Amino acid sequence: MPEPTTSASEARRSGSMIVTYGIAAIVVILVGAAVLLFFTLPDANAFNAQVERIFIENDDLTSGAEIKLLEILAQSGTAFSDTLTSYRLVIFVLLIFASAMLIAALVFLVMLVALNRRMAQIERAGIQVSSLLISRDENTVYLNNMGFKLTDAAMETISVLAEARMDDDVLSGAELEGLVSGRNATDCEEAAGATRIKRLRDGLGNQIVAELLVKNIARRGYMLSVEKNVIKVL
Amino acid sequence: MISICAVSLLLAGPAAAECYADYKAKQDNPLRLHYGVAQIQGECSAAAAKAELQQRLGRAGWTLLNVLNVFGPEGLASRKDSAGTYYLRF
Repeated sequence: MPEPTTSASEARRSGSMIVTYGIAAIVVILVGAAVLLFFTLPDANAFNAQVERIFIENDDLTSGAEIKLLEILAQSGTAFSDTLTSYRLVIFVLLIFASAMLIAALVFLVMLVALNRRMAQIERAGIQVSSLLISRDENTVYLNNMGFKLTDAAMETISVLAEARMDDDVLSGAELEGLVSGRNATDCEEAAGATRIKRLRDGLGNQIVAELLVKNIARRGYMLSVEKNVIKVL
Repeated sequence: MISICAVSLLLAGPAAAECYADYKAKQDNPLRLHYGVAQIQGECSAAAAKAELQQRLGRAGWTLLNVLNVFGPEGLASRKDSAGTYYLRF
């Protein structure tokens, strides 16, 4: 069975590879087209050479008027090849614009794919905390700009946990109790800290579930706040 | 005997019947073409006329394309009109 997990960094790496290959392919196509353009279009001398060949091959083309006509033919050919040169430049500029568009489109496409993958992951992961703001004045914790009111004790607990997280520390129950109550950790009981954690979970979890899942509509009742079509009962 | 022969040959060259050639020449940038008739001093053959005319035309900035015919004075009249200003010019 294949690994069901995908990593965002892997997607990003393969995505940038695709971008590199794609841009390289576009540049190769552009250079090839430019070379083809500059080598296949006839140069100014092609018309003159043709007229010269006609002049040599036909022995009876000797009268002055005929020769004058041939010269005029060659001149008009040369004028036309000047026009071709300017066309070639215009085509080349358009080619560059087109390839710039191609490159931009490719980059956006890859970005879109990567974003889609990321979105799918986020959707599967459920709630992802992108901001945690602890406001001591209001006794409120803001998770992703959703405010949850907490008791003073729970506020103390979450503040201590947040500080420990910022220092990359793991707290035991006793240490937590010690930090909150201001006593020495060795004098504290593990159970006291566990109780604080339980109260914090209860208070915060209740409100999060109320906000995200079980809505309370004032004076009317309760309702699940999920889409109808995602519900399945086995 | 040999030297006498050689001298007589040298003398005989120019003394032989007058030789003419008609040719086609060009100038590049812008392309200009002309048909002309010229007198040949050397041997009266197309190859010799080519070598001789190449030099003469080159001095005037023209490139010889080809020599059509070599002929005697009897052919001059019929080519005079076509050659126009380049009749016996080079």
